[in-house]
Amino acid sequence: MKGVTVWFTGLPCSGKTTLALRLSAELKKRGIQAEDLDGDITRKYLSKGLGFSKEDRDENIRRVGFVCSLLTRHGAVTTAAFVSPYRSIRAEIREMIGNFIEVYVKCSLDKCIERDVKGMYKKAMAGEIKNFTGISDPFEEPENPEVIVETDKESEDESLRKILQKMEELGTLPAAGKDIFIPDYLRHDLIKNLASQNFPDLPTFVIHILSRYVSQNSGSSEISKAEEDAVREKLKKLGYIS
Amino acid sequence: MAREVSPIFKKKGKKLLIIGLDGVSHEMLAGNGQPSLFPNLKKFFAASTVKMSASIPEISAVSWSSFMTGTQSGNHGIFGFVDLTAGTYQYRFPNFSDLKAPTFFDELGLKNKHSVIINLPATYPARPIPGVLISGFVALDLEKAVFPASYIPILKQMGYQIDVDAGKGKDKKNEFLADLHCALKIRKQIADILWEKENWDVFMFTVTETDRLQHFLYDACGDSRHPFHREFNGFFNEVDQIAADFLQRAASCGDVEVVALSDHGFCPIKSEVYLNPILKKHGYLSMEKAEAKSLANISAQSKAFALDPSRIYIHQKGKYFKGGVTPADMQKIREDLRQLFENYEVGGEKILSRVYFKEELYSGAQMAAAPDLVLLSKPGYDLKGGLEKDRETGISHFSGMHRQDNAFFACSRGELISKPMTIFDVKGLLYKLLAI
Repeated sequence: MKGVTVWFTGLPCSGKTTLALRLSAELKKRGIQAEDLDGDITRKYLSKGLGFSKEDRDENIRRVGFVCSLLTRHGAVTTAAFVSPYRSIRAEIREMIGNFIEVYVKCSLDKCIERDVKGMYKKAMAGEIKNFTGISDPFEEPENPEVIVETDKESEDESLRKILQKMEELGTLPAAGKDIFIPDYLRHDLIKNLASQNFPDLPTFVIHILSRYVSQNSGSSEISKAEEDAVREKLKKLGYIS
Repeated sequence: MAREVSPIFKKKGKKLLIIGLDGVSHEMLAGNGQPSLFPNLKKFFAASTVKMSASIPEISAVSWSSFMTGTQSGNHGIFGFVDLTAGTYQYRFPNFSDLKAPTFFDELGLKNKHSVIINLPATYPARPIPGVLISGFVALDLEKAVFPASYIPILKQMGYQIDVDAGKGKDKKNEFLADLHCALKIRKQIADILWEKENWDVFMFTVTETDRLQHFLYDACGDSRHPFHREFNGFFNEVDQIAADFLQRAASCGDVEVVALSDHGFCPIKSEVYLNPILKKHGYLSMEKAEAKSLANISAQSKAFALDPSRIYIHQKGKYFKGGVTPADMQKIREDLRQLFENYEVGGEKILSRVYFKEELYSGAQMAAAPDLVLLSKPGYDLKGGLEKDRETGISHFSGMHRQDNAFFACSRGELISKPMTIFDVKGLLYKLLAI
């Protein structure tokens, strides 16, 4: 599989790391081991001593970008969750890495402040933290990101689906088989029937359960359940069905 | 100011008018020694009217699908009003989007021919066609029954009814008759508009009320003492008048060929016959709970079950999750079932004309969904699945039933009619009439 870096950019507390880890977990389910990088790790091991001036921030991202480029070149899937507020450095690492998917994690400032359990925004607003993105330092929105997720408007699942879909579209991720969610009533049906009866053909029964669900939930027939009931009534009135 | 000329008068080339009369038998049209209920149609077509075989089973969904595609269910995939979802015991109701073969109006569209199709059964939900489509039975929602959608407001404004409430046919017969007249009248009005407005090559007008009336009042047909005899005959005469109006218009348009047909005939009911109770009695079908009325409760020991009206399915292993019949046992069970039904009698009379194995009726890509046996009854024995019944035969409020061998076909060019004529032959004949 070809390596790729999925780069999450956005305001502090916008949900970058959460989504990066969700993506990583989903990839693992599909048998793909991803490498996760975020500010906490790299500031500790890769960029210790760098501050939050524009120059230092750019240098931090440049170093992370270099690591990502190595991982990507060797076929790894890497998730990178960094505020990375400046367009110029993002453009630079995009160039460096090559196979690069930029995910703009969009979220309103109010929502980010609400989510900030560490109270960093509060400190920044009080002037206790300098150069804090969103308060005292700008965040330059991506102009052409591959994916935009809006974490104040959509669920994590929706955001994750968008990212996975884009990765599949770009060919960086093999398309997954369609997941079929089996609702509780069907699982109960399955368990109850399996416990109480002697089925000559278990695989066909499982197919039956799945197809029942699919037929109830697919839009292929263009006829709703309510319409089916109405058709049944009409046919009964004419004696066409029992 | 000169009156605007209808597009139909401007368009060159052969045109075709099709009049569909659901459930009208050849006898009803020809009269057979009695005055015809369709004197105008009879006179117009004169000797160019023949008996036609409908599909088997002889129900509108299958027969009209066979008419519009020119092929049998093994190709078009519509085997009945109801089927089971593959691999399950869950009922589903096939619709127009399940039709697997091309219709004549789709194919004619490829030749730049424009069709107006009004009230043709088995065309719901309406999809785009090269022309105009107003779906017929079992259409439900006008919003999904009309293409193009621009006609929906007009139909709504006119009070167009897709179908009448057949429930009234049982015990509110006067209301039922009034509804039939009203639905027919408005349908004709919308047809008049489309006739003038659309630049058509093929115009099809189908009357389904003829079927509804016969189900509930067939006994009024030949019985002058029946309280609804006059109303029954009067309704058919009204349909004949409408047909006559179309014929007259067609004649004034110039190069218009005309076809009239039904999808099946009709006959009086002697007895309803319930197939699932028969299968139960002879050990082919059992339920997990004796009182169960749904196929979902079929037992794993069951060897066969019936779906309306006359289709028998072997409870095969691998096809149904509780099925246990192996391929090695199939032929024996089919033969045994054929024998059982061929010999089945009601009041000392055998009730079936023939028991078909699937390969004797069907071929094509949809064979996997075909019933394993299909029964064709003798006139008067109305076959039904009847899973909920606790007896093998009975009577109900219905007085008329479909009949397979006495549909009719009539054509303005009688020399083109093949004999014996089947509903599968009609599509090819339409192309001949259009010189395609």
